[in-house]
Amino acid sequence: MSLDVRHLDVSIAGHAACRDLNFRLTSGESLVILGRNGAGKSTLLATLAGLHSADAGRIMLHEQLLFNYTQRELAQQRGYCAQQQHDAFAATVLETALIGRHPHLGRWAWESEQDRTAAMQALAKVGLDDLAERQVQTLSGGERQRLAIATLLVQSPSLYLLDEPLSHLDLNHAMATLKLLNEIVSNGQMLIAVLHDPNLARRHFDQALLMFGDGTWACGPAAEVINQDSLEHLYGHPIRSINNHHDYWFIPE
Amino acid sequence: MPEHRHVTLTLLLLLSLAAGSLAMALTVGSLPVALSDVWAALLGKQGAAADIIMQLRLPRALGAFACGGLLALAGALMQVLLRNPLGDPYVLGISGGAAVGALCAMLVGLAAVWVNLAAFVGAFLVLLLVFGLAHGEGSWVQSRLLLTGVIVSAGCGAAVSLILSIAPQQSLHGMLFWIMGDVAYISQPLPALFLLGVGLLFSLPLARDLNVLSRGEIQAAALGVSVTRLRWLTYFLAAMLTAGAVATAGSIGFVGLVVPHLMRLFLGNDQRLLLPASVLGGGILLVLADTLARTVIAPQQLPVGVLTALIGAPLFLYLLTRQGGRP
Repeated sequence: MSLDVRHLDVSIAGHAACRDLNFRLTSGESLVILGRNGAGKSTLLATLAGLHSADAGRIMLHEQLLFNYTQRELAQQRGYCAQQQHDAFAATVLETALIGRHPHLGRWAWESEQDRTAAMQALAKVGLDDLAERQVQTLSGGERQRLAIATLLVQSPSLYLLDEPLSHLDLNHAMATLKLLNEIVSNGQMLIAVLHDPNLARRHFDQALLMFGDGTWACGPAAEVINQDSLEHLYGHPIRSINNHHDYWFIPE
Repeated sequence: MPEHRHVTLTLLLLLSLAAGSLAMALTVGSLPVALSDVWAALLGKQGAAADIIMQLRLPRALGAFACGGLLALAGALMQVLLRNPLGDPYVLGISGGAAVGALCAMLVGLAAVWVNLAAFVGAFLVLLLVFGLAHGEGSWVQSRLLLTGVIVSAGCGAAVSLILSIAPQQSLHGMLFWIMGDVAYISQPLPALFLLGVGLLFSLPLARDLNVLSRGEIQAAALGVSVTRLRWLTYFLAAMLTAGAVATAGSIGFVGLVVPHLMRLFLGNDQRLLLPASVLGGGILLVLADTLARTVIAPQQLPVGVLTALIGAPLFLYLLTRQGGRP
């Protein structure tokens, strides 16, 4: 199980998100993407999901070129959670989570009892099992975010791509979500997430990719790549580094 | 999501309601016919009552059923495509084209069969025009398609007013009935029924894909749905169904908007149930409305489009307030 990115050029509306990007992720590893607003983090994530085309380079998922997958095969292997969810029609929380089974079901198949059980388990993992029958349009921003993650769990891909999974979450749910994501990784899946908190990124992810907004980037072990100098360069803001219990904490000045 | 058994039961119930509405349409009228005589006529027994059933009421009832089904299915598809509960089969301007075609044929005094044909040609030309002009690259396509539809629709509306203002007095009544929608002149319901079958055959396999699409484009793409292909296919399907309905019975309003809505309020938003249920619901509503249209002030007849709105609007408002406005 692996994701191999080689010489990847990604741009959006003529603006380069990254040039000649290389990294490799294997089973049980996680990567965090950091960068300023508009640096192209979401575009890169969508490219890795096969939803945006790269200008050059290649993406290999499980040793096979990404664009050689059919859309259905790809949906069985990689899950993608966008920044925001819009619900135009009424649906219950359980129904919304069950949507994740779509790529695993045949054209005429209906969701089975096992699928429902799996969906309920996923809801329990994000603490929404009590709200299973609630209308999705009545959820708060944070609850909706957790439901999106539950839908992803129901899809059960081998590569998880999450765009700001902690947005709208309060502190305890943010930490619970990070714990859940860590469990996914320790089960052998691969995880790539866009985050805005360098301290959480450094503590909870194996690798980090910093995107500087002009197409340049830095990638490597999170504990090495995320440091005072790189963060000041990344965000263009002075950062204070605090050494506590042989570990570093970064706070903006 | 409803369970499979629940879906089967619901559809069976709707099927029996549809059969009931057809039976009512065949028995009720200026000459009441007993149900046993209707049955005998359907089985091939000759007679005066049998002639009325087989040559007048049956084609009319089946035609009304088919048109109601076509409009409701097209409306349900448009609502998912636009991700908007206010979607309507007439959004793409198809009915405008059909109206111009039909009214032109009436203006030169062609027979009913030719009026229907001219309506279909008009609808099809508008369909080609709208899709041709909207063709392009990128995410703009959907809004361009809609805008093109709205503009073409407005243009057709002007053409319709022009035809009405220059039309001779004696053909105005027929023209107005056509515009409001009327199933009185359906002599051959088979094309519409055939199109309805084709529509179901194409849309049912897409139902779960449409479920996912109704959750949003990105979510659908991430779950393996070919969003662009699905969209174009569904747009085209909805446009064809609308063209078939308006060519058969004129632009009957309200069915396409309200029936999918009603079904959604009762049955939820699973397209696997909603699409066939809308077909049956649309058929039932139009058959009942037409039966009323030719009986309430008999021997005079009302255009069925007026009745669909008169039945549909209060029913819909009642349900909306009762359910707390869940779209």
